[in-house]
Amino acid sequence: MTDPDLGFEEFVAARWAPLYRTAYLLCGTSHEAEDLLQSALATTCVRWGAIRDKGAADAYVRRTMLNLAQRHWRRRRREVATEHLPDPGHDHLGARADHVALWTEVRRLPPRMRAVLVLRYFEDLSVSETAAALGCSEGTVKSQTHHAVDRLRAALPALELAEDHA
Amino acid sequence: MSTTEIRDALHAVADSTSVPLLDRTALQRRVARERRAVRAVRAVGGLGAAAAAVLLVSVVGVPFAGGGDGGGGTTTEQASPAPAEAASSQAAGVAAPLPYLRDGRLHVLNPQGVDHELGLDVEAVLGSTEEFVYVLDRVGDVRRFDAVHGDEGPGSPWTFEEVDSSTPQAVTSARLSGDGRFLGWIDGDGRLVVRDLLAGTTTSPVDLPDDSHLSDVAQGSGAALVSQDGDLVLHRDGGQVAVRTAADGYGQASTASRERVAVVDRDAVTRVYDVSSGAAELVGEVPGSGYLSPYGDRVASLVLRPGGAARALLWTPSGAVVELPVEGRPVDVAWSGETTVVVVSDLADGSVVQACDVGGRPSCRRLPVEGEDLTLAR
Repeated sequence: MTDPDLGFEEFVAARWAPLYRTAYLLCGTSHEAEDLLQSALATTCVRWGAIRDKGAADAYVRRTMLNLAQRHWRRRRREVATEHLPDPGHDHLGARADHVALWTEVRRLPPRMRAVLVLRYFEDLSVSETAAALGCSEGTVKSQTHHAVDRLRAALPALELAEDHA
Repeated sequence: MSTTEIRDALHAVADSTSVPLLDRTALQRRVARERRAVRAVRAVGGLGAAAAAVLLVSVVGVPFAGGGDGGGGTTTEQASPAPAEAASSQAAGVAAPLPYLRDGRLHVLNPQGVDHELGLDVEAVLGSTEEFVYVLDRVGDVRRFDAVHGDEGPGSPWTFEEVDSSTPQAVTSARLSGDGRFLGWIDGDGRLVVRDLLAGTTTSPVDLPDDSHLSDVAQGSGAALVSQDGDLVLHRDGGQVAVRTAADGYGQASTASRERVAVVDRDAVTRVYDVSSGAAELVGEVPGSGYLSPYGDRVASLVLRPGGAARALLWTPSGAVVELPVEGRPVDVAWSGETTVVVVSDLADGSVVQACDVGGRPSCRRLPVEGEDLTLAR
């Protein structure tokens, strides 16, 4: 939640870190995350005066990031797929081994599927909010969540993952 | 185990991710690029009224410009010889001070070829004369800098001092007429006001529809060209003149002189209308985004083509259109006096500014201004 009277510069200073974390989870690599967030913030800056409810600025940046990311993903889909996961970023010091293992598999998910997980389980959006953010139907969000959990369960049989149906 | 495990893993990874420091310079560069893109879209009338309103509001609401003075307070200048050439009036190649923005910051190149950094982050240069420069700052305040030139001859140093602009704060748009006599603005309550700087008089505020934009103020008459409700209207003594816009555009980048209006239409053509009779009659067309010279006799136009090609064109009083012989890929054009077109163009290693004399056969020469993000008046 952001202060409704916040200026853009203050907003960036206050929200850079949390927004970067969301960008990182969406992209899976640090350089792509920084690039995505910078682009989204530039767009937001130019339209800052039009964002009447500055408390919703986070959501505006997030939606812009998703729009930009989806455009990028569509372009990348035409490129040759690879099993290699570039730029692991760092080893997430302090995170539990099973969390890191799960994250490694999350990064292997198709970007849109990963975005569904990030919005639902990191940003705590509802199915309908996630659908709105991604510009798809609630049914698509549910099926993507289902497929994502299926894939993670198959990749990590030791984890007994089940879906929320909220 | 439920999806709580996924939730926990995502939060753990996010929390353990090292967050890089904000690269303000990179962000400023992207913001400048985004602004240029928005301006380019607006220049061909490609924005609807709602989006245009967004842009207008953003003009007064974009304080981001790390490290700069984006707000109030009188600014100080730093004068330095321009980097490219020796300081001389020939090297400068401009008859009057040339205001421009470098990375969003206000600079003025004086006729001696000395560059003055005026210490202010600016949204737009509204216009200038030999005596002063008006700009719109990042919070929507109109700011004025007076040029002071010593009387010890041509070599006397120039200085620029900020003075009170005597305008209300947080205007939504503003323009200075090409001759520098009339300053117009739309205030925060959506009212149009035009001040005659020579006579010291100010018109009574005129209520405008919501989200109106002041495109220009005409030289000679002080008539205000306003984009309002999707129409382009010239407000002048004795009534209004409706000016047609093509392809459902709004003509926000249009310019006006006493007798002419140049409408930058959405189909990437600038149409020139004669409005002296009280109705707008089409008298010429030029490709691209074109702007009237201060007295309305010529139009300088920038034509951007898909794939990156670009040309700077000149529409002459005879109706002929000629290409300006500029170096590099032109990205911005503006007028500096009635017979000088100033062009920013991109070269492989950055941008340069050229002054093109269009009083006769056009010829261009470089000015001692270089940089990566250069923006002229308009």
